[in-house]
Amino acid sequence: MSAEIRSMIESAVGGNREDMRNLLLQFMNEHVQAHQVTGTNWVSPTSGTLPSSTTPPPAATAAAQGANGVISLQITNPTQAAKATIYHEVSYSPVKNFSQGVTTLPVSANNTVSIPAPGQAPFVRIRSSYDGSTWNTHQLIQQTAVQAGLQSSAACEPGTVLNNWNYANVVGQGAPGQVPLIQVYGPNGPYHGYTAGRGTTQVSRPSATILNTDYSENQIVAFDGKRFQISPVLPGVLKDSWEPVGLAQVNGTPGGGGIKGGNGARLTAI
Amino acid sequence: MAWQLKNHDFDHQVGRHYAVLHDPATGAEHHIVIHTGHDSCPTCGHVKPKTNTGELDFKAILKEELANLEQSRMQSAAYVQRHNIPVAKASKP
Repeated sequence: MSAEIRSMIESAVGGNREDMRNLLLQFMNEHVQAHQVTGTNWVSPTSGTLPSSTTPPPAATAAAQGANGVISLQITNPTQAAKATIYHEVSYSPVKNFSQGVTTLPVSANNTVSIPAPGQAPFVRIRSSYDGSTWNTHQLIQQTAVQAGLQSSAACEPGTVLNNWNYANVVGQGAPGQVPLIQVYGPNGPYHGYTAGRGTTQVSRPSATILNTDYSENQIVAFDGKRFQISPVLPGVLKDSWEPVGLAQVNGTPGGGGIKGGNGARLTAI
Repeated sequence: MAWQLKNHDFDHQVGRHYAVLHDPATGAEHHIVIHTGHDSCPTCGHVKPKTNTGELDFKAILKEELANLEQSRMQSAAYVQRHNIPVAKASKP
Protein backbone atom coordinates (compact mmCIF):
# COMPACT_ATOMS: atom_id res chain seq x y z
CA MET A 1 0.00 0.00 0.00
CA SER A 2 1.38 3.40 -0.96
CA ALA A 3 2.21 6.05 1.66
CA GLU A 4 -0.33 8.40 0.04
CA ILE A 5 -3.18 5.92 0.50
CA ARG A 6 -2.09 5.13 4.04
CA SER A 7 -2.04 8.86 4.86
CA MET A 8 -5.50 9.27 3.31
CA ILE A 9 -6.87 6.39 5.42
CA GLU A 10 -5.42 7.87 8.60
CA SER A 11 -6.89 11.27 7.72
CA ALA A 12 -10.31 9.72 7.00
CA VAL A 13 -10.28 7.85 10.31
CA GLY A 14 -9.48 11.19 11.95
CA GLY A 15 -12.70 12.67 10.56
CA ASN A 16 -11.61 14.23 7.25
CA ARG A 17 -14.67 13.60 5.07
CA GLU A 18 -13.00 14.79 1.87
CA ASP A 19 -10.19 12.24 2.28
CA MET A 20 -12.81 9.55 3.05
CA ARG A 21 -14.64 10.45 -0.18
CA ASN A 22 -11.47 10.38 -2.28
CA LEU A 23 -10.43 7.09 -0.70
CA LEU A 24 -13.74 5.40 -1.50
CA LEU A 25 -13.76 6.74 -5.06
CA GLN A 26 -10.24 5.44 -5.59
CA PHE A 27 -11.26 1.99 -4.31
CA MET A 28 -14.30 2.02 -6.57
CA ASN A 29 -12.25 2.96 -9.62
CA GLU A 30 -9.83 0.13 -8.87
CA HIS A 31 -12.74 -2.32 -8.59
CA VAL A 32 -14.41 -1.14 -11.76
CA GLN A 33 -11.15 -1.53 -13.64
CA ALA A 34 -10.60 -5.01 -12.20
CA HIS A 35 -14.16 -6.11 -12.96
CA GLN A 36 -13.89 -4.88 -16.52
CA VAL A 37 -10.94 -7.20 -16.94
CA THR A 38 -12.58 -10.21 -15.24
CA GLY A 39 -16.04 -9.66 -16.69
CA THR A 40 -17.76 -9.52 -13.31
CA ASN A 41 -19.86 -6.78 -11.78
CA TRP A 42 -19.86 -6.24 -8.02
CA VAL A 43 -22.34 -3.38 -8.24
CA SER A 44 -24.99 -5.55 -9.99
CA PRO A 45 -24.09 -9.16 -9.22
CA THR A 46 -25.80 -11.81 -11.31
CA SER A 47 -25.41 -14.36 -8.57
CA GLY A 48 -25.10 -12.74 -5.21
CA THR A 49 -25.46 -15.93 -3.21
CA LEU A 50 -24.61 -19.50 -3.98
CA PRO A 51 -27.69 -21.40 -5.12
CA SER A 52 -29.14 -24.04 -2.88
CA SER A 53 -28.10 -27.54 -3.88
CA THR A 54 -31.68 -28.72 -3.45
CA THR A 55 -32.74 -26.52 -6.33
CA PRO A 56 -31.66 -27.65 -9.79
CA PRO A 57 -30.01 -25.10 -12.05
CA PRO A 58 -31.73 -23.61 -15.07
CA ALA A 59 -31.35 -25.59 -18.25
CA ALA A 60 -28.01 -25.43 -19.96
CA THR A 61 -27.86 -25.14 -23.72
CA ALA A 62 -25.70 -27.25 -25.96
CA ALA A 63 -24.79 -27.59 -29.60
CA ALA A 64 -23.97 -30.93 -31.20
CA GLN A 65 -21.88 -31.66 -34.23
CA GLY A 66 -21.09 -35.08 -35.67
CA ALA A 67 -18.05 -35.87 -37.77
CA ASN A 68 -15.69 -38.78 -38.29
CA GLY A 69 -17.75 -41.11 -36.10
CA VAL A 70 -17.77 -38.78 -33.09
CA ILE A 71 -20.49 -36.45 -31.80
CA SER A 72 -19.01 -33.36 -30.16
CA LEU A 73 -21.08 -31.37 -27.70
CA GLN A 74 -20.39 -27.80 -26.64
CA ILE A 75 -22.34 -27.02 -23.46
CA THR A 76 -23.10 -23.48 -22.34
CA ASN A 77 -23.93 -23.00 -18.67
CA PRO A 78 -26.87 -20.76 -17.71
CA THR A 79 -25.74 -17.23 -16.82
CA GLN A 80 -27.53 -17.28 -13.45
CA ALA A 81 -25.08 -19.75 -12.15
CA ALA A 82 -21.81 -17.98 -12.72
CA LYS A 83 -20.51 -18.69 -9.22
CA ALA A 84 -21.61 -22.31 -8.88
CA THR A 85 -20.23 -25.47 -10.41
CA ILE A 86 -22.78 -27.10 -12.65
CA TYR A 87 -22.57 -30.82 -13.36
CA HIS A 88 -23.98 -32.18 -16.58
CA GLU A 89 -25.23 -35.63 -17.46
CA VAL A 90 -25.36 -36.42 -21.16
CA SER A 91 -27.22 -39.46 -22.46
CA TYR A 92 -28.14 -40.68 -25.92
CA SER A 93 -30.49 -43.18 -27.48
CA PRO A 94 -31.45 -44.39 -30.96
CA VAL A 95 -35.08 -43.42 -30.28
CA LYS A 96 -36.37 -39.96 -29.54
CA ASN A 97 -38.37 -40.94 -26.47
CA PHE A 98 -35.34 -42.66 -24.93
CA SER A 99 -37.36 -45.80 -24.24
CA GLN A 100 -34.57 -48.15 -25.30
CA GLY A 101 -30.86 -48.37 -25.86
CA VAL A 102 -30.03 -45.44 -23.58
CA THR A 103 -26.35 -44.84 -22.93
CA THR A 104 -25.52 -42.43 -20.13
CA LEU A 105 -22.12 -40.79 -19.94
CA PRO A 106 -20.41 -40.15 -16.58
CA VAL A 107 -21.45 -36.96 -14.81
CA SER A 108 -18.98 -34.17 -15.46
CA ALA A 109 -18.58 -30.44 -15.07
CA ASN A 110 -16.82 -30.25 -18.42
CA ASN A 111 -18.44 -28.13 -21.08
CA THR A 112 -17.17 -30.22 -23.96
CA VAL A 113 -18.25 -33.83 -24.39
CA SER A 114 -17.33 -36.35 -27.09
CA ILE A 115 -19.50 -39.35 -27.92
CA PRO A 116 -17.79 -41.96 -30.11
CA ALA A 117 -20.58 -43.54 -32.17
CA PRO A 118 -19.34 -44.38 -35.69
CA GLY A 119 -22.17 -44.76 -38.16
CA GLN A 120 -24.85 -44.01 -35.60
CA ALA A 121 -27.43 -41.27 -35.44
CA PRO A 122 -28.63 -41.04 -31.85
CA PHE A 123 -30.79 -38.49 -30.11
CA VAL A 124 -28.83 -36.65 -27.42
CA ARG A 125 -30.16 -35.06 -24.26
CA ILE A 126 -28.67 -33.26 -21.29
CA ARG A 127 -29.65 -32.45 -17.72
CA SER A 128 -27.79 -30.46 -15.09
CA SER A 129 -27.34 -30.35 -11.34
CA TYR A 130 -25.44 -28.46 -8.66
CA ASP A 131 -24.88 -31.48 -6.45
CA GLY A 132 -25.20 -34.49 -8.74
CA SER A 133 -28.45 -35.64 -7.15
CA THR A 134 -31.01 -32.91 -7.82
CA TRP A 135 -31.42 -32.61 -11.57
CA ASN A 136 -33.40 -30.38 -13.84
CA THR A 137 -35.46 -31.99 -16.58
CA HIS A 138 -33.83 -33.56 -19.61
CA GLN A 139 -33.42 -31.29 -22.61
CA LEU A 140 -33.03 -32.66 -26.12
CA ILE A 141 -30.03 -30.98 -27.63
CA GLN A 142 -31.79 -30.94 -30.96
CA GLN A 143 -35.12 -32.29 -32.16
CA THR A 144 -33.51 -34.48 -34.80
CA ALA A 145 -30.97 -37.26 -34.48
CA VAL A 146 -27.33 -36.26 -34.58
CA GLN A 147 -25.41 -37.94 -37.38
CA ALA A 148 -22.04 -39.06 -36.05
CA GLY A 149 -20.77 -39.94 -39.50
CA LEU A 150 -18.44 -42.77 -40.37
CA GLN A 151 -15.03 -43.12 -38.87
CA SER A 152 -12.29 -42.44 -41.32
CA SER A 153 -9.67 -45.12 -41.85
CA ALA A 154 -7.18 -42.35 -41.13
CA ALA A 155 -8.20 -42.74 -37.46
CA CYS A 156 -6.80 -46.28 -37.39
CA GLU A 157 -3.22 -47.28 -36.95
CA PRO A 158 -1.96 -48.99 -40.06
CA GLY A 159 -2.30 -52.76 -40.02
CA THR A 160 -3.41 -53.43 -36.45
CA VAL A 161 -6.72 -55.19 -35.95
CA LEU A 162 -7.31 -55.14 -39.68
CA ASN A 163 -4.35 -57.40 -40.09
CA ASN A 164 -5.73 -60.87 -40.80
CA TRP A 165 -3.22 -63.64 -41.15
CA ASN A 166 -2.98 -67.39 -40.94
CA TYR A 167 -0.68 -70.33 -41.53
CA ALA A 168 -3.26 -72.31 -43.46
CA ASN A 169 -2.68 -74.23 -46.65
CA VAL A 170 -5.72 -74.28 -48.91
CA VAL A 171 -5.16 -76.87 -51.57
CA GLY A 172 -7.45 -77.85 -54.42
CA GLN A 173 -7.38 -81.48 -55.53
CA GLY A 174 -9.23 -83.60 -58.01
CA ALA A 175 -9.32 -84.64 -61.59
CA PRO A 176 -11.87 -84.50 -64.39
CA GLY A 177 -14.62 -86.92 -63.53
CA GLN A 178 -13.75 -86.94 -59.84
CA VAL A 179 -15.36 -85.07 -56.99
CA PRO A 180 -13.56 -81.71 -56.60
CA LEU A 181 -11.97 -81.42 -53.20
CA ILE A 182 -10.28 -78.70 -51.14
CA GLN A 183 -8.09 -79.50 -48.18
CA VAL A 184 -7.49 -76.89 -45.47
CA TYR A 185 -4.67 -77.65 -43.08
CA GLY A 186 -1.82 -76.17 -41.10
CA PRO A 187 1.97 -76.32 -41.35
CA ASN A 188 1.98 -79.85 -39.89
CA GLY A 189 0.23 -81.22 -42.94
CA PRO A 190 -3.22 -82.47 -43.90
CA TYR A 191 -5.61 -83.34 -41.07
CA HIS A 192 -3.84 -80.94 -38.71
CA GLY A 193 -5.29 -77.55 -37.79
CA TYR A 194 -3.72 -74.19 -38.34
CA THR A 195 -3.10 -70.98 -36.45
CA ALA A 196 -4.90 -67.82 -37.46
CA GLY A 197 -4.74 -64.32 -36.11
CA ARG A 198 -6.30 -60.92 -36.22
CA GLY A 199 -3.91 -58.24 -35.12
CA THR A 200 -1.98 -59.71 -32.21
CA THR A 201 -4.63 -62.27 -31.22
CA GLN A 202 -3.92 -65.86 -32.19
CA VAL A 203 -6.46 -68.67 -32.37
CA SER A 204 -6.36 -72.35 -33.36
CA ARG A 205 -8.56 -73.42 -36.23
CA PRO A 206 -9.53 -76.93 -37.33
CA SER A 207 -8.52 -78.61 -40.54
CA ALA A 208 -11.17 -79.32 -43.14
CA THR A 209 -12.09 -81.30 -46.21
CA ILE A 210 -14.45 -79.47 -48.55
CA LEU A 211 -16.05 -81.66 -51.21
CA ASN A 212 -17.93 -81.19 -54.44
CA THR A 213 -17.17 -77.52 -55.01
CA ASP A 214 -17.36 -75.95 -58.44
CA TYR A 215 -14.87 -77.80 -60.55
CA SER A 216 -13.39 -75.16 -62.78
CA GLU A 217 -13.27 -72.05 -60.69
CA ASN A 218 -11.16 -70.40 -58.02
CA GLN A 219 -12.61 -70.90 -54.59
CA ILE A 220 -11.93 -68.68 -51.62
CA VAL A 221 -12.31 -70.34 -48.24
CA ALA A 222 -13.29 -68.52 -45.05
CA PHE A 223 -14.01 -69.57 -41.49
CA ASP A 224 -17.04 -67.97 -39.85
CA GLY A 225 -16.04 -68.95 -36.31
CA LYS A 226 -18.00 -72.17 -36.49
CA ARG A 227 -17.92 -73.49 -40.03
CA PHE A 228 -15.95 -73.19 -43.22
CA GLN A 229 -17.57 -71.16 -45.96
CA ILE A 230 -16.59 -70.87 -49.58
CA SER A 231 -17.15 -68.34 -52.32
CA PRO A 232 -15.87 -67.91 -55.88
CA VAL A 233 -15.38 -64.17 -55.29
CA LEU A 234 -13.49 -62.32 -52.58
CA PRO A 235 -16.37 -60.07 -51.47
CA GLY A 236 -18.27 -63.24 -50.62
CA VAL A 237 -15.94 -63.95 -47.71
CA LEU A 238 -15.39 -60.41 -46.43
CA LYS A 239 -18.19 -60.36 -43.90
CA ASP A 240 -17.08 -58.70 -40.69
CA SER A 241 -17.10 -61.82 -38.53
CA TRP A 242 -15.52 -64.11 -41.13
CA GLU A 243 -11.86 -64.91 -41.39
CA PRO A 244 -10.62 -65.29 -44.95
CA VAL A 245 -8.47 -68.43 -45.00
CA GLY A 246 -7.14 -68.73 -48.50
CA LEU A 247 -7.64 -69.30 -52.19
CA ALA A 248 -7.77 -72.70 -53.86
CA GLN A 249 -7.79 -73.33 -57.57
CA VAL A 250 -9.65 -76.55 -58.04
CA ASN A 251 -8.71 -76.58 -61.70
CA GLY A 252 -5.40 -74.76 -61.72
CA THR A 253 -2.81 -74.15 -64.41
CA PRO A 254 0.42 -76.15 -64.67
CA GLY A 255 2.91 -74.96 -62.11
CA GLY A 256 0.21 -73.20 -60.17
CA GLY A 257 -2.45 -74.48 -57.86
CA GLY A 258 -5.07 -77.09 -58.36
CA ILE A 259 -5.04 -80.45 -60.01
CA LYS A 260 -2.82 -79.58 -62.96
CA GLY A 261 -0.18 -77.70 -61.01
CA GLY A 262 -0.31 -80.07 -58.11
CA ASN A 263 0.87 -77.33 -55.81
CA GLY A 264 -2.43 -76.19 -54.49
CA ALA A 265 -2.69 -72.60 -53.50
CA ARG A 266 -1.91 -70.66 -50.43
CA LEU A 267 -2.93 -67.20 -49.41
CA THR A 268 -1.63 -66.14 -46.04
CA ALA A 269 -2.88 -62.60 -46.04
CA ILE A 270 -5.77 -60.89 -47.70
CA MET B 1 -9.55 -92.70 -27.94
CA ALA B 2 -10.10 -92.59 -31.67
CA TRP B 3 -11.43 -89.84 -33.87
CA GLN B 4 -15.20 -89.82 -34.13
CA LEU B 5 -18.13 -87.92 -35.58
CA LYS B 6 -19.09 -85.09 -33.23
CA ASN B 7 -22.11 -83.71 -35.08
CA HIS B 8 -23.40 -83.06 -38.56
CA ASP B 9 -26.30 -81.23 -40.17
CA PHE B 10 -27.49 -79.89 -43.48
CA ASP B 11 -27.94 -76.19 -44.20
CA HIS B 12 -30.62 -75.81 -46.85
CA GLN B 13 -29.94 -72.10 -47.26
CA VAL B 14 -26.55 -72.77 -48.76
CA GLY B 15 -27.08 -76.40 -49.78
CA ARG B 16 -24.20 -77.79 -47.78
CA HIS B 17 -23.73 -80.73 -45.47
CA TYR B 18 -21.51 -79.86 -42.51
CA ALA B 19 -19.86 -82.49 -40.33
CA VAL B 20 -17.49 -82.02 -37.41
CA LEU B 21 -15.12 -84.83 -36.45
CA HIS B 22 -13.11 -84.63 -33.25
CA ASP B 23 -10.54 -86.38 -31.17
CA PRO B 24 -11.76 -86.24 -27.54
CA ALA B 25 -8.25 -86.90 -26.25
CA THR B 26 -6.77 -83.73 -27.72
CA GLY B 27 -9.83 -81.62 -28.56
CA ALA B 28 -8.67 -81.43 -32.16
CA GLU B 29 -11.34 -81.01 -34.83
CA HIS B 30 -11.63 -81.69 -38.53
CA HIS B 31 -14.52 -80.39 -40.60
CA ILE B 32 -16.16 -81.91 -43.66
CA VAL B 33 -18.19 -79.71 -45.98
CA ILE B 34 -20.08 -81.33 -48.84
CA HIS B 35 -21.67 -79.12 -51.48
CA THR B 36 -24.92 -80.20 -53.11
CA GLY B 37 -27.58 -78.47 -55.15
CA HIS B 38 -26.72 -76.17 -58.01
CA ASP B 39 -23.63 -74.55 -59.41
CA SER B 40 -23.56 -71.16 -61.01
CA CYS B 41 -20.94 -69.88 -63.39
CA PRO B 42 -19.42 -66.67 -61.93
CA THR B 43 -18.59 -65.51 -65.46
CA CYS B 44 -21.89 -65.90 -67.28
CA GLY B 45 -24.19 -66.59 -64.34
CA HIS B 46 -25.46 -69.79 -65.89
CA VAL B 47 -26.97 -72.04 -63.25
CA LYS B 48 -26.79 -75.77 -63.60
CA PRO B 49 -27.65 -78.53 -61.19
CA LYS B 50 -24.87 -80.66 -59.83
CA THR B 51 -25.04 -83.97 -61.55
CA ASN B 52 -23.02 -86.05 -59.14
CA THR B 53 -24.99 -85.85 -55.92
CA GLY B 54 -26.08 -89.42 -56.44
CA GLU B 55 -22.46 -90.49 -56.26
CA LEU B 56 -21.81 -88.76 -52.94
CA ASP B 57 -21.84 -91.27 -50.12
CA PHE B 58 -21.52 -89.56 -46.76
CA LYS B 59 -20.87 -92.80 -44.92
CA ALA B 60 -18.01 -93.63 -47.24
CA ILE B 61 -16.60 -90.10 -47.03
CA LEU B 62 -16.84 -90.19 -43.24
CA LYS B 63 -15.17 -93.58 -43.09
CA GLU B 64 -12.31 -92.41 -45.28
CA GLU B 65 -11.77 -89.18 -43.37
CA LEU B 66 -11.85 -90.96 -40.01
CA ALA B 67 -9.33 -93.48 -41.34
CA ASN B 68 -7.01 -90.70 -42.51
CA LEU B 69 -7.29 -88.87 -39.20
CA GLU B 70 -6.77 -92.05 -37.24
CA GLN B 71 -3.77 -92.98 -39.34
CA SER B 72 -2.20 -89.59 -38.64
CA ARG B 73 -2.91 -89.98 -34.94
CA MET B 74 -1.49 -93.50 -34.82
CA GLN B 75 1.67 -92.43 -36.62
CA SER B 76 2.21 -89.65 -34.10
CA ALA B 77 1.51 -92.00 -31.21
CA ALA B 78 3.95 -94.57 -32.56
CA TYR B 79 6.64 -91.91 -32.94
CA VAL B 80 6.09 -90.68 -29.40
CA GLN B 81 6.20 -94.21 -28.03
CA ARG B 82 9.29 -95.16 -29.99
CA HIS B 83 11.29 -92.18 -28.72
CA ASN B 84 9.65 -91.97 -25.32
CA ILE B 85 8.72 -88.30 -25.76
CA PRO B 86 6.69 -86.48 -23.10
CA VAL B 87 3.27 -85.53 -24.42
CA ALA B 88 2.15 -81.93 -24.12
CA LYS B 89 -1.05 -81.14 -22.29
CA ALA B 90 -4.10 -81.76 -24.44
CA SER B 91 -4.76 -78.86 -26.72
CA LYS B 92 -6.15 -78.15 -30.12
CA PRO B 93 -3.58 -78.48 -32.87
